Amino acid sequence: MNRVSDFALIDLLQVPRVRHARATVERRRRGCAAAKTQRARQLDDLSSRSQALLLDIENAFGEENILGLGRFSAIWAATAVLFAVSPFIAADSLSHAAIFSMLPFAAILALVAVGQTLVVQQRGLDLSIPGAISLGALIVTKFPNQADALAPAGILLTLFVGGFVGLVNGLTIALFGVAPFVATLGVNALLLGFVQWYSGGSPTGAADSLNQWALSTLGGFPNTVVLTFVLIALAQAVLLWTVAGRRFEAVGANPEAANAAGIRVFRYQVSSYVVAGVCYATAAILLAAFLKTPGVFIGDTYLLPSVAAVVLGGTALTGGVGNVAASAVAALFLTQLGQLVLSIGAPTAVQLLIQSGAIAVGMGLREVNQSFLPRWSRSG
Amino acid sequence: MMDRMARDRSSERGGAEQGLRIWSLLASAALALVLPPTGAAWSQDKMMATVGRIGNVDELVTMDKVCGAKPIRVALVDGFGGNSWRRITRAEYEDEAKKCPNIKEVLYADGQNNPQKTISDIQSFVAQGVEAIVVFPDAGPAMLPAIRAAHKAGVAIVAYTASPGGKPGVDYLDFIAPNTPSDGSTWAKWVAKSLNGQGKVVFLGGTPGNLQSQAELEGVKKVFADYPKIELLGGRPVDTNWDPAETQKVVAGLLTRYPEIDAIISDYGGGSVGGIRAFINAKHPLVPWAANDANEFACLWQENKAANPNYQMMTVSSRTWLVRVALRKAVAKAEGVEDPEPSIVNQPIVEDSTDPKLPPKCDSSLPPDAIFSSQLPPDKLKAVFAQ
Repeated sequence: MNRVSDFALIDLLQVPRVRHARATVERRRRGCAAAKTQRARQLDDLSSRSQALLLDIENAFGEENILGLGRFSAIWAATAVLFAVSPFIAADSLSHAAIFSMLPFAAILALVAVGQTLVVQQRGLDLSIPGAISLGALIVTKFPNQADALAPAGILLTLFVGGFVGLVNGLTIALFGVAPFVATLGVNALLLGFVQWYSGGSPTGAADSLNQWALSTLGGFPNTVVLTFVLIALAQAVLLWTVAGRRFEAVGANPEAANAAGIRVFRYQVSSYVVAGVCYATAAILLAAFLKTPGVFIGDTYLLPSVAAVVLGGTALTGGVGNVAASAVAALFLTQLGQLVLSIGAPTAVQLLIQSGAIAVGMGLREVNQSFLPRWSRSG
Repeated sequence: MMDRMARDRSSERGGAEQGLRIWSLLASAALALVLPPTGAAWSQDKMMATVGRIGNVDELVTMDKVCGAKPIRVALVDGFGGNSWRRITRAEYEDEAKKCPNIKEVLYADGQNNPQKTISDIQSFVAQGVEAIVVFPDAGPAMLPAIRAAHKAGVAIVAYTASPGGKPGVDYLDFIAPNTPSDGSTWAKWVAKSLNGQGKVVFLGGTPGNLQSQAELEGVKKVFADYPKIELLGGRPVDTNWDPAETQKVVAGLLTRYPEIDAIISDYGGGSVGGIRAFINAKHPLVPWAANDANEFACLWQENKAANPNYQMMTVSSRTWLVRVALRKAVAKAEGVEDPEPSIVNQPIVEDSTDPKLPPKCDSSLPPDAIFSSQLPPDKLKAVFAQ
């Protein structure tokens, strides 16, 4: 999968090199002994940057761990293991009721994690998640104020506001060069202030039709989960198999080289925040629909888990290399882990220890794979 | 419950999502090392040792008994003012103050969850010469120096719900609070009656290790000691962070863990709605549920009672009216009038679906966390939420 798409990217990156070669040949043919023209020097520069980009990408995809899994496959394995051991830890933890209580929460966290992944891929970090989700959940409940007829308008408005918040984030960062965590932290404070003002501190219930939709199932799965699955599959396909998707990754891996290769870096950077904002808005809508009465500051609990899901999924915090499906699976992993420790009935302290231990092992495995173990296994 | 409302925002913040509990664990460990006990912990601790008298609601008096004649100004210093409970409380305070024609000014300050601002709010009112101050000291003992200074300056200052530590009567006029263990006993007695003295019960508490849920648990256990066939599952409060979404996850986990749950006691009706939804989502029949009153808690009972024959509900008050007692105490002192009311109040049952005289109250036109045990007239309660 990756190979095919990489070729597409490489083709793309060939362009400046070919141009460069042609230019060189042309110069020689003319017998121009003069120093390289300005244009030629630029082309040279372009070529070397493109090489750097290629190297980045190759390094990223070349990482494999001892299980022969790519960096994004580790979380799939860890999640499979978690589900396999669940019944031995808490007998009914894979019962229909337990799984279907957990899945909607996993779906919501997955959407948030996808948004965060896109931003992290562009070398950013989105700290406006608490404000964006709280605001989304507030608008989708307070605007219709329980009136079913207004629910669709409320959903559209929520998505629009989510995208707008992302646009503000993106423009502040890409246009004015503000550090992402500063810009998004500031926007988060603005959003929380607005939420406090608009809500007056009191939550509103979601429209009944929205609540009923969230509790209904399609093909045996909750609607929330089906929708999330479709959206994430779509995002994954776009990122892996379209030129735009590959360029998106190239911009994240090396914005300068991408710029040199003629990619409009600015657009990709801003759009990552906009799409992320829409992801958070969607998550907020599902959250409000599922919980019926989302708390005023419901988004507060989603910031750190979103970063955890991104990291566990294997997306590099340095940008570029990322995989939204892996982040979504990591969200499933985190949610099931949380539900599993709740099912044990242990005191909160023990639950926290088990959770942190499992995350540390999950993280550690990948790091170990990439450093110590391969050498050790090779020598053996 | 008040402490929950006090800490509404911070507890939601602290209630990290499942995966990253370690972050909050580390953070709380670090905080525990550097900070004095929180208001929540402190208040319950001191609540039991207060010099204030314990009494029942029928011993409370009306405002006109303490009004006096001297013109005075009163102030409510709220550590945090941004949720439904606080807004209802403020309206109750203003409603009560208006009953005295000689109260010339009714002042209010929102501390915005910032201890420093709350301290300066108190100091500012003292400097302005306000005669009576009621304070919700969210920050607990951190507020004590400011409160003590106001007391020494001759201001009648009364703390309510969260204790600032120190000694009531010495460092400040009095401390007004509900009798927490008695709430636990009230819930437990009702549950024992609903179950005919036999069954398995879960007690949903608040944040990990909070002393309010512990105090309630004492009351619960005392009652259940007389019912050997009632089992308290887990034997301790189950942490929910007093948050509906977290409660939903926690109860889903409990339903996985325990094949049989016959009744639930919860110290937050507004959070219990998440637990009720977990029952519904798991297609588990609903069971008798005791908590404190919240609009949506009653609405959910009305919606689901027909499909769940065993489902009953009972609530004690969410006691937004406690601020009225605190105001009366402060005004009485400022006017030099005797106020015989108890400081620690035993709460009666306000809703009981098994008692036709105390029907659950639901009004879907008001927010899910509206509180009908408030002593505000209905139109004033509605006005609180009309923005």
